[in-house]
Amino acid sequence: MPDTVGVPDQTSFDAFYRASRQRLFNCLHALTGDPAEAQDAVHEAYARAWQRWSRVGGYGDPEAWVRTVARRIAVSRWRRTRNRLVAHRRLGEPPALPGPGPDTVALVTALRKLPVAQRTAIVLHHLAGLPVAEVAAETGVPEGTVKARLSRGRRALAQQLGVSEDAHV
Amino acid sequence: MSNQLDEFFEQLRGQAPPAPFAPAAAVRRRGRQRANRQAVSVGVAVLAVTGLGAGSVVTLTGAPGPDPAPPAATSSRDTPEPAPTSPTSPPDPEPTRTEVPAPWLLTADDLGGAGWEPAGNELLEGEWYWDGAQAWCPEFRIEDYPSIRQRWDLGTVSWVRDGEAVPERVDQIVELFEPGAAQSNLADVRAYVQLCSRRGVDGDETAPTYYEVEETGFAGDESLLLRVEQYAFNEDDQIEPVGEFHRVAVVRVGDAVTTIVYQASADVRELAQRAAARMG
Repeated sequence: MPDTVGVPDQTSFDAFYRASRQRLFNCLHALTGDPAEAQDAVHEAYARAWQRWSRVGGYGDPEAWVRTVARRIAVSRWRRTRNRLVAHRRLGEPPALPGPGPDTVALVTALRKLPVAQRTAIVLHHLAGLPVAEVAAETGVPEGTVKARLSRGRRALAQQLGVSEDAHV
Repeated sequence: MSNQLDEFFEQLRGQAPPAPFAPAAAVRRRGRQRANRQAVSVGVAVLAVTGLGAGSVVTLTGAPGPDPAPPAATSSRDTPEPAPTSPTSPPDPEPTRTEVPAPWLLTADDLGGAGWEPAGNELLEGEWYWDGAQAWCPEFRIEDYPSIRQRWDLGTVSWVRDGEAVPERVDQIVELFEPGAAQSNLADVRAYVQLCSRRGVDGDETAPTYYEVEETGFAGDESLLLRVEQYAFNEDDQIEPVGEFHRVAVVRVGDAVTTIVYQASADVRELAQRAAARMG
């Protein structure tokens, strides 16, 4: 149930959800490579936000809170899938994306080949638009580490996608 | 980022989800149902724990967990910067090691040789192995485990081979910490196990993991041997253990910590001792 601290503001939650859900889906899609998994993690994260909306809604950036929760849900599921060899064999590879353009397929495929830490940094910086300092704060690592992950990740993406990588953070 | 890469990301931004987003009312309902299930499962789990008797294992804090911390404001971060990997000060006679050397990682020969092949392991890289429990352990907050911020370097290796029923898999993570922080990291692992070990019960919405400390002090300077039972939902949406348990060994040698995960019920004690010898 929602917090007992104050009365949860249904209107503000609904507005927040509608305004931010596509951005959050974009991030989770890029991180997981699986749109269905991404959408479910997004819904679950918002459900948890509603449980605590009287507090979360008061944060300066509630979207960052939901994004962090959604990422952790996704990471937990990856890890569980990895560990469950039987389930993995039964389920096989994640399904192909339904109907995206070839560039989106190529990008998602390339992102999935990056180590998770690089992928997360790339998605938060280049897709969610967070400055390096905020990526560092959200992932709990120093800014220098984020810059290194971005640099390596961009280089790998550019190679895989056959494009130039000519700019720096 | 190059304009070309930007164009790729721009197309991804416009990608529609596979189904329409749930209405806000449905999301709120999911949140309420989740809260109700948590209240039920916590009550059941507390009863179960009180009936367990003595053991080295589960502690379940009965109260619902706190929120994840609000995203830290950039200006308020006080995370210590790791030392540079290439020290700029004059080298000591025995310079402090800042990178995980390749010989510290287990080889196929260490595992017995025949049949073992290298495996991909990207999920081992980057964040702390024990992170990610937030989904089913609401008390877990990565901020409560600060030693990971004092990590200098990380090395990983994974091996697989065909097994009788399912493939066998060994994952090894070696983490090198700034002086003194490896001991804190072992303490963080113990704290994590203490906080988040839980068996699945009817009414759970998320599938937990149960850890039992089977042995300590068998390798290196400090060591833990964990028995790990994972839970998942079956086709009838009932929670149940997933296959056989597996074991994880965590060993500290000086300022390094290795975590060895053997996806089989086999004993990893011997592997942990070999790893400790390599790191010594």
